[in-house]
Amino acid sequence: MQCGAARKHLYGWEAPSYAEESRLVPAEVAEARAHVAGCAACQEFFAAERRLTDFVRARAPQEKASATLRQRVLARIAEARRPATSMPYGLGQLRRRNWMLAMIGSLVVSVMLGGVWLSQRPARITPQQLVTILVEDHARTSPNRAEFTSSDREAVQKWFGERVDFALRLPPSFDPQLIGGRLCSLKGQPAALVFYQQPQSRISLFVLDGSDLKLPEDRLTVIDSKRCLLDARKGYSVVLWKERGLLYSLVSEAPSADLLHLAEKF
Amino acid sequence: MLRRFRLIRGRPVARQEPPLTESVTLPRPFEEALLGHLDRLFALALRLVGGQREVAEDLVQETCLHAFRNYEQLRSPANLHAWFFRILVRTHINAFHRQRREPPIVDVELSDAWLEGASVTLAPATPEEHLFGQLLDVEVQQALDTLPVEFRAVVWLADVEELSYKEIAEILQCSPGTVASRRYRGHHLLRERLREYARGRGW
Ligand SMILES: [Zn+2]
Repeated sequence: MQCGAARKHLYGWEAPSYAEESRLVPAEVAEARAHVAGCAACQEFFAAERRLTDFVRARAPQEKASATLRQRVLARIAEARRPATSMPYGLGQLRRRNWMLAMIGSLVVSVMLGGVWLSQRPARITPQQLVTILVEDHARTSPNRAEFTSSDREAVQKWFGERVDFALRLPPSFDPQLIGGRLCSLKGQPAALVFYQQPQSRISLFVLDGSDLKLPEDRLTVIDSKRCLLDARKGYSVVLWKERGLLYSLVSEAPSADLLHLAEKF
Repeated sequence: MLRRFRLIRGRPVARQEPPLTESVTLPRPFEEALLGHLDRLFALALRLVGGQREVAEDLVQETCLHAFRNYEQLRSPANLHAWFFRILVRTHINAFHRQRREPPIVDVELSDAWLEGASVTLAPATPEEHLFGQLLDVEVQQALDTLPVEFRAVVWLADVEELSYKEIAEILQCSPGTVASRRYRGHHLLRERLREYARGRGW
């Protein structure tokens, strides 16, 4: 076999699996291997290919998806999940069409002009709706679904820092054990979900952009400098408060008085 | 801290209603699957559009919506990454072929004569490759991004993502032989581009 034929057979050859390799190697591949084993030029040919592959892998740009992209994508999917019929007076259809136009428009604009994104804000929700969503999310999302597991406060903050637009702060002295966290989407709005565990109950901390949410002033409980909304739903307690434009919420099976006590630590 | 709730066999009990039913304890598998692949999708998108971030982000968003709408038809979740990549490539072709400035490449199978003539320098690591190592990241990126998109896609999927020719063939809707050929030609062209950058620096 000549060098060219040997290179062609081996360059295009890929064994389906190691187990099948011994049975399935075609005669010409076996012959090509025998040639390469005794040919310095062919060995160098394949070695150079491998070195270039290693070079590309080592030096290829390693850019990750931005936190904004994650949020936009989650918001888009939440929007797509929402049935159009749930909006009154055919608004769903209208909104959907506007949104499609906005998307196509932005694609064209960004292709032609280099990028202006027409963003779609998630729908406004009331504190009551939010409490219901938080409770459902707490119930269905156990700490074993953490995307990042660590008891190190700084490490968890850093992990979220790379994934969400806001900087959440976790309290340094906090009795419940920090387990880790994950990203979640609350009605299309991206949120950080942090898992804590105490001996007889677990606690979910949700943090999200709170600029769209208005807490009812007349129902707030004041502790230290915080003004908290207390609620309970389906056997779970919820405490909500706003801080530096962010909405923090603790949800747990533990009594709301306990959560209020924990909220003071933030 | 005071613990004021009742305990039965070590688990806290809901105080008003029974725990939430199965219907609300369903996971959100699509978002989960997607977030796990988003970095890889974005990296491939960025290469397909030649490094333009905003365009790549738009492409990924479009891809995610297509994937979401087709997720229920997905039969083998084992090859989820390949499935996402295939949708990304198809979305890219549909959305961007009109803006395309470069003519498509002509696919040729690897031939004996062609490979016979490949220049081979008999040294363990040639000085030229040593020079490539000195290039800036941005130069390497540009060398990669100026390859014809068909080569770029194969080089990325084979060398960086380490997918098999068979998987890449399914993603790009071509034969494994074409994948092998594009990879070889992509490597050949990439070496030339890197050489140009090295020469441009006076090396
Ligand atoms: Zn040879």
